[in-house]
Amino acid sequence: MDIEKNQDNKNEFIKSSEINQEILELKNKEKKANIKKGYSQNKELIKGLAQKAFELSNQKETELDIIQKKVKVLDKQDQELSTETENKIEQEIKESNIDHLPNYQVESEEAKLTEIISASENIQERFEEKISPDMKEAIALVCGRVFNKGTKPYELIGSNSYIAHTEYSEKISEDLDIIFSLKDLDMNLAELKTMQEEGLIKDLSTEELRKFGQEKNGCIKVSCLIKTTNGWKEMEAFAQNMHDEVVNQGKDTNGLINLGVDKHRVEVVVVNGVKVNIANEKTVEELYLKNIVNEFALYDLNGWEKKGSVSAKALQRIFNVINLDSQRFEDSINQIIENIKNIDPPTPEAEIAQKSLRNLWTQFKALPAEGTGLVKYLMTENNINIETNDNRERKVLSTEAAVDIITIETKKDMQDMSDRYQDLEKKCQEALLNSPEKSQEAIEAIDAEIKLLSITGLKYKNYLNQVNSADKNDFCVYAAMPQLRNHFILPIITRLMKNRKDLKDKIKQ
Amino acid sequence: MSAAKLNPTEIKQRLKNINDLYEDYIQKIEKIRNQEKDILTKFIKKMEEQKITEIRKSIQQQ
Repeated sequence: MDIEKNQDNKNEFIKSSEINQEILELKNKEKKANIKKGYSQNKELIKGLAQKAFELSNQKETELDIIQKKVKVLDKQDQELSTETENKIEQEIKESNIDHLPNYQVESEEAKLTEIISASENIQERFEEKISPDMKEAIALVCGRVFNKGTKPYELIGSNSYIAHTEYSEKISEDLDIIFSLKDLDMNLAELKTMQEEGLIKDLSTEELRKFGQEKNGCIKVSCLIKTTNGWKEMEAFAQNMHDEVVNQGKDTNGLINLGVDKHRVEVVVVNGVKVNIANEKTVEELYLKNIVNEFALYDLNGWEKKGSVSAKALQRIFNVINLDSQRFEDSINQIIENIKNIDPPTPEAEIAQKSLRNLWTQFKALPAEGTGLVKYLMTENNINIETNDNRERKVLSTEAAVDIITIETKKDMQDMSDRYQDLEKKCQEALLNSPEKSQEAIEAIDAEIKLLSITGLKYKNYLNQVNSADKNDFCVYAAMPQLRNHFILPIITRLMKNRKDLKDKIKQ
Repeated sequence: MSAAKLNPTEIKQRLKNINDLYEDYIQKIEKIRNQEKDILTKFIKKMEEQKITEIRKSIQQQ
């Protein structure tokens, strides 16, 4: 620690002198050296302790084996975190050596707020390996022909950026999301229309978005399908307000991420020879946190208006955040709850989301810390076997698969329950205006529905019984269930029972 | 277009970024390293206590 103090003092001295690139490089070297030194010192210390433990263990070989395994896992985490931080620090000394695109207005306020750097080799490699050839084809085509000709910043958001910033994920990006400036909308649309005439894209359309589903907010969504060798890839591009509209014209920000309004760093990857801007890890995290808030706050299936419920999408978002590179998977739920509070600007929706998530987390921690665990249970039930010797990889990929399973299942169950309820409600209202025979039929239909709901309820009760709160991976999967029971199954039963009583009364009359 | 050198404001920002990254790293790495140390020191302590108990027992038996 003394070494660090000396270095910090030296840095303070440097700060007061001239600021130039060499200082940055010096700082970079020092911090990386500290990381390396810290790692070696710790390794020596652990080696000493391990040696002592070995000498004392005598016959306790099994116990020592378990301990060695645990230490090995932690050492791997240490190595990964150290390498990752060294890489990130290395990124900071890179010059902004991006050849700016031909029409890009380098001196605009939007450009000044957007730092464009080359993606690290790691991110570039992941993009190359994990994004499908078809998707890369679509990205290269549309960015090369359209977005790289813009005057203001743009970037790919969504799964294409997310996948590049996670070590373990088997997600396949299905669509292409882009944010760009409203100032470039006309030009981009004109080029897209030309591409449509050339048969390179189809189904081109535009739509103005609404703020929380209400008044229009000026953000124009451009949708189309992009032609690839094997089919079509869906694109959604969002033309948003940037610095000029927000600061000079006093308009609202109209996107979850506001490129060209706040400071952002954009990373450039090369896709099939075309330079493409993608969101960096911080932006991806911010986007998913805001998405979580929206999913919690705006959840409204068929008019149920169960704000604060966890939708299927919210589960995916939570998982996506905790799976980002700099998150320590196990202790990241607390961080998400904290970070939601820091979303700028603070909104009532963020408050609802934070409260809902915090309640779920508290309830989860109170569950028994024993048993199979829901993730493992779902893996076995669905015959999924993750083949890897790496514990962390297995953990992440199992959770990802379990989240997918429960997302599909809860989404379908909620939709089915809601649809059946709407039909039954209509049937009951009609029966109340008709003959007693019709009322009897409706009562029988209600009884059958209640049986069905009980079966669904029991299925989720069984899932809840499998949760092991000692395994934090179970949280993402667990989070879907308490409110599904309380916000869907129970209210439907209550409403159906009331209808049943009304129908009985009608028969008695 | 030629490579754009960083200006002093950008350098200051980058210096801050490096410090932030390092601080964040120190916090996270300490947690991991403390866990490593805890696992081993607890085991050592347990073994030492067992040894002391064994010695005491053998003295008492003598």
